[in-house]
Order: sequence, then structure tokens, then C-alpha cells
Amino acid sequence: MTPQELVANVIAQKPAAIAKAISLIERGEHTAERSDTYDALFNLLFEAPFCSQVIGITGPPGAGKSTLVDRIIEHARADNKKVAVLAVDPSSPLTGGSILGDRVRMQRHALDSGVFIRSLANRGHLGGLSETTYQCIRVLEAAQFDFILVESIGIGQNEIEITRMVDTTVLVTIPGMGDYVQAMKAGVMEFGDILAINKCDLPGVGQVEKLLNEIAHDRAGPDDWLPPVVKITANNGEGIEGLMKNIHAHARFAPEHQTRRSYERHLLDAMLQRAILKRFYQPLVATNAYQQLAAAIVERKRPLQDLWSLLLQ
Amino acid sequence: MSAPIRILLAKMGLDTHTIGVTVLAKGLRDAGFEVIFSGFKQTPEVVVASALQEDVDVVGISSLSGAHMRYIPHVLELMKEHDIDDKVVLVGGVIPQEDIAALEALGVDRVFTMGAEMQTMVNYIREAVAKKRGEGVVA
Amino acid sequence: MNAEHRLDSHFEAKLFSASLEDWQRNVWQPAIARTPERKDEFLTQSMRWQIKPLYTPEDLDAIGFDYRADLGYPGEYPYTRESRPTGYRSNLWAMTQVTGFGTAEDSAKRWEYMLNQGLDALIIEYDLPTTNGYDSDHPLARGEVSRAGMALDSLRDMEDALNFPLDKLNNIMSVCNAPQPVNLAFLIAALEKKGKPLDSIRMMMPNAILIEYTCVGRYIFPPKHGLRIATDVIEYVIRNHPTWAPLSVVGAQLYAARANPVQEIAFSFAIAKTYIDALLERGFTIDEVAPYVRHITGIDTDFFEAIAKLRAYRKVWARLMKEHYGTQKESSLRLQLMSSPGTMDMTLQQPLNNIARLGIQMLACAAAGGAYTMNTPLHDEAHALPSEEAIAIGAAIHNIVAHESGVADTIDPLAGSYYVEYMTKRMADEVWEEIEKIDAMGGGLKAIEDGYFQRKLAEQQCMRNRAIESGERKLIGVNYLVKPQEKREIEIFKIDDATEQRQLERLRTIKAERNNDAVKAHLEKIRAACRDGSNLVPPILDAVKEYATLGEICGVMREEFGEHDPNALTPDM
Repeated sequence: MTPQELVANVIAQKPAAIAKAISLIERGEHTAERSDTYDALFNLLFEAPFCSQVIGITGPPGAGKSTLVDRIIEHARADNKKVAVLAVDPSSPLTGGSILGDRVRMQRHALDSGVFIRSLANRGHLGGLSETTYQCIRVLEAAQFDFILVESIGIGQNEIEITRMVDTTVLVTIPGMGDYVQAMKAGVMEFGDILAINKCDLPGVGQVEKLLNEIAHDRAGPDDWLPPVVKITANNGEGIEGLMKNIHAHARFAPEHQTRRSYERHLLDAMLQRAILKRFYQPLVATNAYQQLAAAIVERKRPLQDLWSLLLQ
Repeated sequence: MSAPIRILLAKMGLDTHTIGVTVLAKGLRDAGFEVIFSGFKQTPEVVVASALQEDVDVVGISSLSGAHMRYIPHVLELMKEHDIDDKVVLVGGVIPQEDIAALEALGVDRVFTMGAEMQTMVNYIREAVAKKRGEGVVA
Repeated sequence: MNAEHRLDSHFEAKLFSASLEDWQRNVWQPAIARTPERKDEFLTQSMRWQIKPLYTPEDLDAIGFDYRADLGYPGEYPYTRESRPTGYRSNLWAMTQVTGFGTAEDSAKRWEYMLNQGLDALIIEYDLPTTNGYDSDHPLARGEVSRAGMALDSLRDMEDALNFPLDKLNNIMSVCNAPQPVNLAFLIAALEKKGKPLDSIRMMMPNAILIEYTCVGRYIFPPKHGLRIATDVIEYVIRNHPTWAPLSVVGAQLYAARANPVQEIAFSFAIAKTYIDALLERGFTIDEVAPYVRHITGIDTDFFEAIAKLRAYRKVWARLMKEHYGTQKESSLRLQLMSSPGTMDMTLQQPLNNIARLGIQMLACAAAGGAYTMNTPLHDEAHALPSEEAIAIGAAIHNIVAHESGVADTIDPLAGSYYVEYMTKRMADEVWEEIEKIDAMGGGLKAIEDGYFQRKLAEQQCMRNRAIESGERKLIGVNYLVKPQEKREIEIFKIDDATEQRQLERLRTIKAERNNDAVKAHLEKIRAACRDGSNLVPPILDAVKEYATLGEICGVMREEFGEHDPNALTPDM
């Protein structure tokens, strides 16, 4: 299959092609050189239009994110909308392996042709999620899913990253997580467009609700989006309707895909930096001329000025 | 460096023992694999759809209830239909000798019976996947 | 002049250490330096407790051991030494074995044979479709019919299975889990049809659905509905057949899922409390209910751990009944225990070695006492058709332990051993702590719904596997003293397609010949009972007599209660 064919099949919404495309992107970091196919895919990222609503579902382990995602899929499908899911889990820093156990809670949708579920390990990217995840999102967008749900464990750096590459971030907590919320205050302040409290059959809902509302009000200025606190019980589907309404409201509020466009600007900058590094820095640093000059400078045999002269050549 | 090996684990049949599959999943993770758990009481259709979407290198089926000859050939058929029969297919559980031969003839790459050691399985998977990828064995 | 008879005081000081510390310093350390211990660490098999070279009275002082408080006399609180005053000196334990698989006709043949051989009780197991609440014609039943046990679709199956002279039949144990009320109804209706008076038979049903949520997984409905259904069965039996045994908490299953002794006892007791509390809510008193709660424990090859476990089981139960429920009645305080020497350490390799393991395990049971029934698994494993030889050897082990070893000839013979008493007390104390911890979580049902038991078991499973694969835990024949290339063919019990077809045919006939309107009406009555909370057993009994099938009845319950998704309880891996 040629790169063009693969891309064409992704756009034609063929699941096998989507799966292969995502694998290629995942593997992209592992191959020494980029291949033609990878490049073709990569270009697609900046060609396919913005047409999906990308929703990040993040929160600590045990908050019930996967169950929530399962319910959102159910809801969207009832509306005949197509849904894709990227479920991201951490890789073991020791062994590099991981157990990706989110899919199992959504498997009732496995045979629905309007649903595509993919589990991803974050493969040791220190930031947690990474460009790879964004590229996978774009592949799914090229396949024109109405909703793309990105589920991840929200711990530290991860939340920050995910919020930059999605349109709406839903932060999921459960009663009894007051300490977590406090600790996350900074993060919640910065992002969290929708603050969901799951497992509302547990005691302590009121406390968490109060806390979240306080933080939300602190954060939001008069013209800003005020993050609503939404109560749900994903286990039985209570509150999902309300959650979806809030998600749609946020989509209407925020300028169209502005967050993601900003992320892409950042991505372009990063790509430019890398390209410059590759094109100019690395070749130069490898030359004898530079190596010898640098050694001489630290030996005080040549002045620093000579380095700038070298550069200008 | 090669990409991590992705393996789908599915339990088929009415048996819902969790011990074997839990221990296996953790062992495979400790060996550096990415383990996607498909679930219990899985039908062939769901197993194949999952394997396709997850684009795994290995499909691992656990069958403890004795009905393997009903399910597994069907899984293999469906994989052929969907053009993903290039994946490594492994079966584990309670499988009598004559069925092992039959399964392997149908396309199962290897059958591991009860008591198989983790390291044996890990080594086999590494070699089998490396072969399929046309690479040297992943460390 | 008896100088040579008087020990020189200096010599005396050298001969006898004045204290443990002296002994350790002067005798033991030097000896260790010359002949080092064979391991860096000595650990008990399951609890992984450090085993010291020596236990002395000081160890008992250190834990506050007191004969009265911790042991007492046989048949008296806290029953640590024995549940009954006479131990095994009057009656030995009852010896049972699990019976087979197959169709109703196969079962009938086998049961008749076993009764004629003088076995005390029949233990009936059912196939996977049945325990999952499906008829043999359900799509998920394909290939599983009659395999793991008897196929039970309609009353006709039970009638055919009981098609032999029932005069010798006194005890039936029926293991059906989730569809227990349906199973109970089938048994009652079939026995009535055969003219066997119900009070001439003792029916035992583990009815242990709550344990199924934590391991093995033969459940259908969500935990709180599973509990309701089980309680309906218990209530019905207590009120209508008070000599029957409607509840056995199968700790042995937790053991099989790798629970250590403390976990097995604590989780079992937490679950027992859940059933008891549910019954108390229905108006029973503790003394009406407690005597009906029986336990089944699994026994390992670590001899002293097993003994400590059995003694701790009795001690903690008595304390639980007394302190938590405030009862003083002996019939409530006394634990009823069946022990099942373990399948966990049975190896596939060198299966004859398992006979030795069984011997040690049963010796431990006999020495620790308190188990009224002992079930022998057979040395050639549950996956193979039990050979006659295995059956005979199993029976022989019982008898050798009982009549040749002397272990059953005095009550609690190992009491007073510093090691045994230390282990017993420590185990009992840790069990109590764990029970309080589970209480603080909200009790047994809550712990199940939160996945607490499942997580703990998953941890244990991985630990054990690692310990065996690394060789740290020795299993002879598996990772130590392994014989090269032993090719062992497991004889898997083969069910041919014809068996499944016969069952399907029988099912078709039943459905065609019965009064389908009556069946429909009864199914609706069951639905009503699901909704209004009344006891499910009477309407199920009526439906069963009209030849409603197990799948149909469970189908109604599925519609009303929902299904519990096994994937939802996947242990966080």
C-alpha cells in the first residue's frame, strides 16, 4: 500500500487503515529515519480540516473515567454521532511495558462501526502525553469522527499537556478526593473546563462540590468561561445528559478550536526548532573546525569572538 | 530500537477465573510488552474487532472451559476475512494434545498449556514478533 | 566423696545457658559460623512470616499469651483447642469426595455406585451454562454443555439424575451458586416426585454467591441482588427445612485464589457477617441464624501454618459471635468447619508426589481438629477423570491418618508448642484487625463492590507466581528437583457432541410438551416477587413444577436485576 493509499483509506474511514496509521505514528519515534508513509501521514495532520470535537477526560485513577467514556459513547451513538477514543495509560518506567485496561470497560461498543477505540501507552514520554497523541487525534479527525475522546490519568504534567491539545477538558473526581482537589488546585485553576464529580452515590459529594465551585469562581474572570460543576454517576448513566449539554455549551463559547490551533502553533515552532537543529546545529557541531575552536577557546588560546565569526561563515 | 510489542489478551468461554490472566498480564508488562485486556466471555467477533483497532502484534486467547474448538477456529476465520491474519496467535489454557495439533494446523502459532513458564512465553513472543516484523529479536 | 557426681559450677555454667541470649551468643552463633543456615530467610509458605530458629516461653510472653483467654478447654469459649469436648475421640471426621460430570444419566449411574460403596454424601456440580443461568440451547452454552458438571435445564433433568433407589441417599450437597433458588426448587420438586420424604434427607448448599464476586466469577446479578437471592434461599430453608444447611462460606475458594490464611479467614468472616446481617434484618435472631453458617477451608502443605489457621478459625469465630453479636449460646459460638486439603499445591509434574502432600495436609487437619468433614481432592487433578486408583488412595489416606498416626487419639495434641501457640495467636490477632478494617470500609458487600478483595487477591496471585518462578518458593517437581522432560498427558474429560445434542433434544421436547401458558403465568409471578421483595423460592418452585427452564427463570431475573459485568470488576491490573 502506498502512503497515498493509506491516507486515502483513513479519510475513507476504514478502521484497518486508521489502526495502521496510528501505529505508524506511534512507531515514528522508534524508527531511525522517517519513512515516506510517515511523512505523508504527518503532512495530513496539517491538511485535514478541524471537524471533530475533541474532549479530554482526565482525572486520577479510580475516578471512573473509562466508565464515563463508555456512557458518553452510548449517548453520542444514540444521536448517530461517530465516536473515537484514545485511552492513554502510563508505561512502566522500569520495564517500558504497560497494561492498557481502559478498553475493557467500553467493549460493548467494540462491534459498532461508528466507534473506534484505541489504547495507547505513553511510552515514557516524560511529559506524559506528547506530540504523538496529538498526531493520533489528527488521524482520527482526518477520518471525520464527530467526537474524539482522549482519556488519560491526570497527574501533574499530564493534565497540562492534554488541555492544550483538546477543545474541552473534563476533569473527573469522586467524593472523598478533597485532598486530591486541593493538591490539584493549581492545575484545576489552569484548566478543567468542566468539573465532573462521579460516583455521586458516595458520601461527601457536597464537600467536593463546594471546593470545586470555589476554585472555579476564583479562576474565572467576568468574561471567562465559568467551569460548571456537574454531578454524575457513570455506573448507571445519571447526569450524562447534563454533562453533554455542558460540553456543547463550552464548544459554543470557546472560539472555534482556538486551543488546538494554539497548540499547533507551538507544534510548528517546535518542529522549526528541530529542523534548524538538524539542518544547522548538528552538522556544525560535528565539524573539526568547530571542535578544535571550542577546545582552543576553553584553553584560552582563542577568543570567544572567533566562534561568532565561524557562525557567520 | 524496535517499537514495544502489543498483545491483546482475551478470555473466551464461560469461565471467568481471573488468576491466570491477571498474573499473565503483569508478567508480560514486566517483560516490556503493552498488554490490552479485551475482557471476559469474549466472542470471536469482539476479539477480532479489538485486535484490528488496536493493531496488536499478538492475539492471546485464554480458554479454560474446554470449548476452545468452537471459538478459536472462528477467530482465525474472521482474522483472515479482515486481512489481519499476519498477527501472532497464541492460545493458553486447558487444551488436550490432539486439539493442539488441530489448532496449530488451522493457524494458531503456539499453544501453551497449564504450567507454562512466563519466561518461556515471553521469549517465544519476542522471537515470533521479530520474525513477523523482519527484525532482530527485541532485547 | 561424691565429687564426681557434683557438677563443677564452672562446668555447669558451661553446660546450661542461663538465658536465651546466652544460648544465642555462646552456643548458637558459633554453631552458625561453622555450619551456616541453609537459607538466608526462613518464611512460612503463605503468610511469609519470618520463622525463627527457636521458639521459647518468652515468645508467648511477648505476645501476651494466656491459657484461659487464648485457648480454654475443648468445647468451651474460645474453642481454640476444639469445637467439641471429645474431639475425634468419639467420632472421626466424615470423609467425602467430589463426584463427577456428565449427563443426568451418567450422574445417576455414578451416584448409585458411590452410595453402594458407602460414601457419606453426594456432591453435585453443574456445568458452566447452568451456573451462569443459561439453558443448554443458549448461544454461549455451545461446547460447554455437561462439561464441568451436570446440565440442568428443567425438572426432567433432575428427575432423571435421581433415577435410582433413593433409600440409601441421606446427604446431598448441591453447588450451584447464582441460580441457587432454581436449583433448590428442582431438587425439592424432584425428590417429592420420587416420593422421597424431604425430612429424610439432608441438603447442603454452599449458596456462597458473595465469594464468587471476588474470585472464580460464577455470578450473574449485581452483588446486592446476589445477596438478596441467597438470603431468600437461606430464609426459606430455615423456615421450611430446618435440618438442611443452606449456607457454606467457601473460604477454600479464596484460598484457591491465593488468599493467605489471614485473608481467607477475615474475608470469609466479613462475608459471613453480610449474610447474617441480611437475615437479622428479616427478623431472625442471631441464635436462629448463626448455627446455619458453615465454613469450608482450604489446607496447604505448610504443616504448622495449617494448624495455626484451623485453630485461629475457631477462636476468631467465637470471638466474633460473642463480641459483635452478643450471643452466649454454644450453638452460635461454635464454628462449623469443613476442610478441603488443598488443590493449590498439587502439581502436574510427578503427580504421585501429591499423595505425600495430601498426607501432610490431612495430618494437619487431624492434629488441629475441628473439621467435621474432610474432602479429598484426588492426586491426579481435577481436570482428569478421577481414576478409581485415586479414589481408593484418597480414602486410604483418610484411614491411615485416622488409624495409624495416632494424631486423632488425643485432643489438640500440639497445644502448648511455643511455635504453634505463637502462630495461632498471631494469626487470630491479625484476622481480627483485618475484619475491623473491612468493617471500617463499610462491610463485606461494600468491599466487594469497591473491588477490595479482588485487588488483594490479584496482589497475592502475582506474588505467588513470582515466588515460584524465581525459585524462592520451592515446589518439588516444578522448580526444584525437576525431572527432565516429563511429558504428562492430562486426560481431559471428553464430552462428545452427541451428549450436547441429546440435551438439546430433551429441552425441545420439554418445551413442546408442557403447558406453556402456565409457565408464562408463573414467570410473571417470579417477576413480581423480584420487584416487591417477597421470597423468590415459592414462585420459582411453582414454575419449576410446570417445567419452566432454568434459563427462562434466570432470564426474568436478569431482566429485573440486570447483569453484573465481569469486565467491570476486572482487578486493576
